[in-house]
Amino acid sequence: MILFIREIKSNMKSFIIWTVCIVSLIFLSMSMFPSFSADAGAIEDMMKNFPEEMKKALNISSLNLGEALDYFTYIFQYVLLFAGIQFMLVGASMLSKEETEKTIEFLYAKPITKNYIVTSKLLTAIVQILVFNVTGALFSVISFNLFADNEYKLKTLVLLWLSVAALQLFFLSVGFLISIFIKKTRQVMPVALGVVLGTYFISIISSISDQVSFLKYITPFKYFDGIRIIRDGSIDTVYIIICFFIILASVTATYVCYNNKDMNV
Amino acid sequence: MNIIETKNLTKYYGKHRGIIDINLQVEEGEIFGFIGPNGAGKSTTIRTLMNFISPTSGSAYIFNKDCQKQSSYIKKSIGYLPSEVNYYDDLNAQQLFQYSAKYYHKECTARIRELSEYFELDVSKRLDEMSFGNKKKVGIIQALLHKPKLLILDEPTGGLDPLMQNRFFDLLENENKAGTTILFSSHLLSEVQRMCNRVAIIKEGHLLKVERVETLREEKYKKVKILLSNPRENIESLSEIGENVVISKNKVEFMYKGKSKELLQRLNAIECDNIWIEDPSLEEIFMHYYL
Repeated sequence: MILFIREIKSNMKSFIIWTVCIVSLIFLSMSMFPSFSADAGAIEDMMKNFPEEMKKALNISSLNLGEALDYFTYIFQYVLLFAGIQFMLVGASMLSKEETEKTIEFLYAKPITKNYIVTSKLLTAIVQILVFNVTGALFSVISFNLFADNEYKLKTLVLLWLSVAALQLFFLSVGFLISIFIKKTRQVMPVALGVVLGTYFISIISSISDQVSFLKYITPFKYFDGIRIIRDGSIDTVYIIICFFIILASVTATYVCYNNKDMNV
Repeated sequence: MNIIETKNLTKYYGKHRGIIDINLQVEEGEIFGFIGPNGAGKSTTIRTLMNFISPTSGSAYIFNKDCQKQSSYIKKSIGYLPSEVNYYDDLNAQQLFQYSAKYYHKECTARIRELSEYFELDVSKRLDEMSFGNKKKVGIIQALLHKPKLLILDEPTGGLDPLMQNRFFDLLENENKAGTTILFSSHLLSEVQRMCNRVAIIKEGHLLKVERVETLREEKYKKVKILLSNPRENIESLSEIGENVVISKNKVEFMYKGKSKELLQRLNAIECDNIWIEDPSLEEIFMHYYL
């Protein structure tokens, strides 16, 4: 509990900044929906002239942006991206910052185990994910109320935010595992961004070309594709299973590697 | 009872040598010095004892408990001061002490105040605004606040001014009298000389010797320095009895071990402007003996 409380406090500021930014993104975008839907016809016409590949790349080929939920889903893919980056950074820095800031000697000298350290930090991040998604869901309901005449299904919104949470857990656990091998602070940013943006582009490529559609199995952005969620009203079980096992494997590997790792100061 | 015991403790960092076959016993109530040049393996040994790194082979025990398997249990009763002190930038000293104390589930407020006053430390100052010496004080207080049974200090005096060093040593002596065992690493022999009952000398990863400080001093070596009146003086008689004889122009220096009378008789035959006969420092004894 001691380390958990300390972690919650020391990570509070950056968590609030990220959360406020992402929630504002949703809120501001939704506030533009009324004027956007008024001109929906013109926009539809314009988009008809877009090449098909480009529409696929932007993930708008099957979206009707005049519909509130479709419009929301379009914004939602950027929420996924930023939320992914946020928790990839959290995962990649939580354990490694103790070593890069050389505070690890203080922590290791305390009567606690390495498992306790990993668990406390993991729990902190999970609590952050919970708070983030409850806040996000709340503000999306509010924005639908204010700007889109309540044109949403609660179940779909809940599914969308559950998928954000799952995506964050995915990047968090991968970040934790990677962070064990990070030796310098300046490595955190490029590695974290590289993984998230890399998988994001893979998801785009896998939608454009059928030849590489197998790539959809290695990118979490495909697991939690907002468009499929609002069309089907569910998340594909295969993806849930893959995601679950990647998270499980990463977390297990984190515990094992961290226990066998020498302090590196 | 041995507080610390290592058996053939060996650590390689990949192919690089850390320490090789270290066998060490530190008894309860001792102040045990750990001496060696930089890179000899002092910190490696200490970090292995603290389970910061795991040994390549061999084993280590503290309070008769395995340092690897029961590390968190052992650490309840250990105070550790790292050679480089680094703490959380967002805390001030008082917050850090309270945070540290929580891990020991002990009420340490009075002790924190006492120690802070003793070292004249401003506890309201943030750690990232502190000087190196003040950070060291924070480290010392942090290591002592839960009244540990064993103190492990890795080069503890770096950064402290002489006044604070003296206070620190006085404090350690008092703690030791109250029953605390102390392991103290240093590359400065004078510190060890002042504080320790026994010293271990480590060089290039090997433990060279463990010796009582008194025994080392009892080796009746004298350091003799002579300023000759006449540079052409015949000093062969001195070269015969002296060890490590160094001659430069009219200055002669050597180490002498033997009867004082014989030394004086030989000196008597020589014309000299000045003469010094001193106890060598431990440093010089070590240099002479082992290194």
